[in-house]
Amino acid sequence: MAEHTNKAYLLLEDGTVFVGNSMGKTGTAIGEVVFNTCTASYEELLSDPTYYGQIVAQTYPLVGNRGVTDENRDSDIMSNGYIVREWCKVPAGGISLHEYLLKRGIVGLSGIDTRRLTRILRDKGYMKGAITDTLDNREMLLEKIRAYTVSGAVEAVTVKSPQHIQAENEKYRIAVPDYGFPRKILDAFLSRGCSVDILPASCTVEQVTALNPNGIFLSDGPADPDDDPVLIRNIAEMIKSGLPVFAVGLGHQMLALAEHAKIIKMPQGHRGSNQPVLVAETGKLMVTEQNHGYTVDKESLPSNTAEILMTNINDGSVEGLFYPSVPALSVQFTPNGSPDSSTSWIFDRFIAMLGEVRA
Amino acid sequence: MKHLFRKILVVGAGPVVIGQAAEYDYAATQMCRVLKQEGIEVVSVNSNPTTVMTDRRLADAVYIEPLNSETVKKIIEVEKPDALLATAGGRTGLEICLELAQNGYLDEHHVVLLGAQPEVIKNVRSEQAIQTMLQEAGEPYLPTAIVSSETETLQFAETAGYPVSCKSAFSAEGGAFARCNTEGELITCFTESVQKSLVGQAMLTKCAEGYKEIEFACVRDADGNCISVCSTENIDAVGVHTGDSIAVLPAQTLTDSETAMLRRAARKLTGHLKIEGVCLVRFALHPDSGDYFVLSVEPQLSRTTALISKATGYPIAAVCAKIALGYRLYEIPNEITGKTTAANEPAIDYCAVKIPKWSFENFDDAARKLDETMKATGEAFAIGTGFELAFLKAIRSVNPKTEHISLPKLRLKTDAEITDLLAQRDNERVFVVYEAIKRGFSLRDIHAQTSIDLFFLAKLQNIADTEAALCTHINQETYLYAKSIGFLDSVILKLTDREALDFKAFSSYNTVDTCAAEYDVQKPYFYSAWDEDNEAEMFLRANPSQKKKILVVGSGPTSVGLGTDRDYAAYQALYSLRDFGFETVMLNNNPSANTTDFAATDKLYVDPITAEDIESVAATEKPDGAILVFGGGEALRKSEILRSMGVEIYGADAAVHKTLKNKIEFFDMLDKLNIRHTGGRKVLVGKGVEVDVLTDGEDFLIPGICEHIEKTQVHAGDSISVYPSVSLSESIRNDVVEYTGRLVRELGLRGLLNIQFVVYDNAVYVTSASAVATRNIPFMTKASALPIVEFAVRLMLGESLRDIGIGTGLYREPRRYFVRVPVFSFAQLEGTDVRLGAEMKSTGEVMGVADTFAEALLKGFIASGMRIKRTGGVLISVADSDKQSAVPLGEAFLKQDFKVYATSNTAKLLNANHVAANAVRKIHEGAPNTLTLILKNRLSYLVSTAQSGPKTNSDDVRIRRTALLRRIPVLPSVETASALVACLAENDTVEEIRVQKL
Repeated sequence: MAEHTNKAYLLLEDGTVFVGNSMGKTGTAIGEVVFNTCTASYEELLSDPTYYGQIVAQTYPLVGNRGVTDENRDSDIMSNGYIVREWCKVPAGGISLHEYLLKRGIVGLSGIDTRRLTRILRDKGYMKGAITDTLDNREMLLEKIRAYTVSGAVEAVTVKSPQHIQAENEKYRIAVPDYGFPRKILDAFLSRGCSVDILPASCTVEQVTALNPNGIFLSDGPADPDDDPVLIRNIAEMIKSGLPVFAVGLGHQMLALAEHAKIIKMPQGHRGSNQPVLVAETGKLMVTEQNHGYTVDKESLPSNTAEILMTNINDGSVEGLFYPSVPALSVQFTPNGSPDSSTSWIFDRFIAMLGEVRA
Repeated sequence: MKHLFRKILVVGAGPVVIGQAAEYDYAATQMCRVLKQEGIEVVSVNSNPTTVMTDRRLADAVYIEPLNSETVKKIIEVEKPDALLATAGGRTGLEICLELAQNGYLDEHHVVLLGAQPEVIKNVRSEQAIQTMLQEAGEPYLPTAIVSSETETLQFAETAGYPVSCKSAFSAEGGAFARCNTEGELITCFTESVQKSLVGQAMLTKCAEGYKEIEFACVRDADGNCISVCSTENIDAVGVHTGDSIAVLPAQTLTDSETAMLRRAARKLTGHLKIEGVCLVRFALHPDSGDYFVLSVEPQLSRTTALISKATGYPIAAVCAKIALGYRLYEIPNEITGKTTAANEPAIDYCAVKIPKWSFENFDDAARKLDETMKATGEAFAIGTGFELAFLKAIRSVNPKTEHISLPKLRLKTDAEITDLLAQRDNERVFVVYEAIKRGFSLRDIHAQTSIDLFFLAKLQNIADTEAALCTHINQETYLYAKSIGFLDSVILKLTDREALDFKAFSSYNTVDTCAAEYDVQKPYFYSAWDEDNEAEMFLRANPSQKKKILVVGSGPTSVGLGTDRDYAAYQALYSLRDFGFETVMLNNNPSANTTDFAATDKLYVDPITAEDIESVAATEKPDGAILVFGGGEALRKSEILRSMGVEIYGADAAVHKTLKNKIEFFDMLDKLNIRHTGGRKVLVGKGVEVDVLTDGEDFLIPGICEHIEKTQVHAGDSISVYPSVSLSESIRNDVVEYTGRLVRELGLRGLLNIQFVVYDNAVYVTSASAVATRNIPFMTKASALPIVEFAVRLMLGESLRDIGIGTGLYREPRRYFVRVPVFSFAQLEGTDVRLGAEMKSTGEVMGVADTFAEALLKGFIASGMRIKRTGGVLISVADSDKQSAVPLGEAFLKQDFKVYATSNTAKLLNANHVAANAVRKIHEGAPNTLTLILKNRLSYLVSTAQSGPKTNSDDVRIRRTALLRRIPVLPSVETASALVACLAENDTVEEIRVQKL
């Protein structure tokens, strides 16, 4: 029988209310409400910096059937709130989702019609909203919601000081301005013999070249690409260094801006684990995980600077670019480095670029 | 245009048997549809007439022929197709492909083999081949070995590790079997196994009992692009056949890394085998350590791929057909979203539960325990936003009479008895588990007894808690919560012991859309939920239609006596309704069925077929009319609820069904009509005759009179039937027509009516009639070449036979002969006797078509899987009542140069009548005996007609069962045996069978 848990609500900026039950910390959390269609680990999802400032709603309804076993691991929850239809009260192993959120002080909501929420969000990409345990001051809360902007996201999630991670059998060194990226991508570099220097997002080209790297990795991160013109100016300098550049997600978009292309808001963003991407040269399909609402405007790409390497099969949007003069390789999604993934070749391609330039 | 194919031959899977039901026809039908859409001429071949793939609508040329490489070759020579597609043909299809490809036949005839290629088939066709392949691919498997010494046995156990299962390598009847955890246990079982083995060997397998059973379906195109469609998890741990397991999609209890690991392995194997199409990989996963073994790799469409297709909205068979034609995944549009392609892995925001349907009630003698041999005849599935909702809906989908997960008989058991029952793996275990939970057994104890994951047990606990809450205090909140997890009002009434409820709520509907609501959809495929918005209503508002809307209620899971024929008829009805400008709404829950294909209907609801579920669909859809006959008696009984909602009932309703089923009422009516009948007198054992009648309430048309070969003590569905009839006199036929007319006018029914007759002493008697029996419809549709269902639907909707203009009375008879031969699944059901009786036992049927009766019958026998031999021995062992018939039968076999054996009394009788018979001892008379004959391969046929009594260990049952397992044809009636020997006398060799276009 349903436990008599505390009521909680989701209030959207247009006034829509969902009534559910409180999960995790009781209180109010405001954010951009987005949905995610994947069934993968909520721990990984919640600690993904690209969800900074957002409230994530899971479309898959049964969450946390396996408990959090490593609840003390060093990963902060990046999203402002979490919404599920149903969380498992008796997870196998570890603690429940509710306890995990409670421990981390994250406000959550369960027991709402997440399908209806998805239907509302899908056309807009996201809406601002709040999870709250009270609607007593509804108008005031609505004002706060409407006034909410995700600001300083990159600043909030980037490393505060440089970090060096040494690869066994180092072949190359890569400088990584950290705009806030999921750390699992590091393994892809380390396993390919690349040591990594993670730098604060605001790093300049001088700070990068001072490390004497073989290449630069422009990471993914939260927020809109044109939020911080300083970052783009820095990137514009970095691409003049002659070092091979590899950019993903936010990095891919900021690189395009640095190359004078335009970024446009998509009619319907890509939010899920099953975005199909076609590689033009091989005709091969890649199934990718994505969470973005902006894309590089195909029309705005100067024809002699960039080649379109990959496109989205569903809507034809740009998914991957190659800038021969930099040289730079950039993709909209986060590739997976494990050898049996359909996207791992992208890392190999970048490593090959490092080799060519060094030679 | 991707390809240059002009004409493709599609090979089907043959008759429905346990383990191979409607799913193959669903797959083949999808493939045929895709090929036709591509402008390709389709030639289809199947021995099973109850298949949509053999309908003119889906194939340009149809062959109903025995499925073997010889007949397929002959069809290739006549039709000269460019390609052959057998991915929907199950094992049979794959074996035919392999044989034709291997000997160069296909190359010689310039036929391209599409779908699974010979190299792939060879890699998976035997246990040994699969293990070799897995070894190459570096994937773990459960080692097996055949051993003949203790040393070998212990060596195996040392390498593989305990537990080890051990069984007799080849045994005539129930060899030894045990799961051994220690050396001692293993040696004991080995010794016993060897003794009971005919070859003195034991088979050892590393045992994965208690492991989770997980499946992944991957789809891959010719470029190597590969996606994983969905995973399934069996609630029953390894040890119960996956077809007998309750399953949930997607898998629920895996860690993220386990999911990733198994998906990776499945994709790896799909790529390793270079499969172009679908690959289903089944795993055993240790619940704690995360170790896994690959249990099976299937490169073909199957029951599981059908389930996954229906549960995700991703039509695997249709996608495979396109892949076979050379399309890449991203070039195949997703029909549901209209915006995505087959390259999108389905994103689902619900879970689906499948529950098997067993037909043990038809087999009193069958062992109900579940093991590695599949026993279920069908399955139902349900979708819910939570597990409880999907599960409770699935429970009542399997059997609409079981509305809740409770069996009254379990309430009377003591706790100790419940504990014992928990340890037994049988078809009722989930009910026992629920009873145990209600009694407060600890979930950990239940888990220890059953290996069912605590996650699922906790969900059942939630159902039990809800039930308890309803009983103690029902209010709006508890009521709505109970509804949201799947309780029916009728269940709540019973639990709370009330006449009426103070509350009423209708379900909402969600869409199966492959994209978790990320996109708007084009195809309305719904399941009931308890969400805030009703998407079915939203769809109605967004897509207003002027068409008249008809709800067609389906028949749920396939079972014995409730076979694929109903779904075949319902499918035809959907098509006809759409042809005539109606909008169709289909309600059904059988994942293998053709009618649960979203392409078959304008709208699809996958939900149970109880009164409340039907009412709920009608409340949302507000159909103008409903056709219930294809849902059987269960659906017909709901006619009054629909009428009360203003829905017109087309065709039969509850009233006519009751009149026909109530014996007293029915025979009174026949008396009034002056129709001779079998009511109220001793059982007449005579020749069975059957008609399916098209009627508008006044006029009628009989597409044909079918004659049964076996006498009427055998269920009509288990009888061989022939059309046109071979032995009925003109006057008998006239009486059949006359009686039909009288009955039709009295009933005033529109649509279909099936009437059973018995001919006894040259007179016709009516034995029964039914407005729902459609068993013979597919056969008669094919034999008469009349679109029977289409006409029936038109008559139901108000047309008269005069309007249709095809005539009345008895339709003209064809020049060819059509024979329907039932097919049984006794071998799968341990303990069952082959003997036929009043209870229907056949699971499927085949059809033989030829210019002469004898050839048609022979084709039917061959198609049914009978090994036809022209030499060898025949053992004749008949019941006393059949003794006189034994003489001409023996004589006929002798004439064909068979050696005739008989037990003492029968042998005496035969010899006294100058039929040379060798007397053999009965088993209890000592060796050598009848059993020895079978074991020494002396018999080509066994004629055994003695009734099986309560003592199932009798000689007769034992030799029938042994013969069955050794694939010696068992002829359970003198008529069947006589028909067989007569057709052997008239036919040439099997190889000279001529194939004929239908």
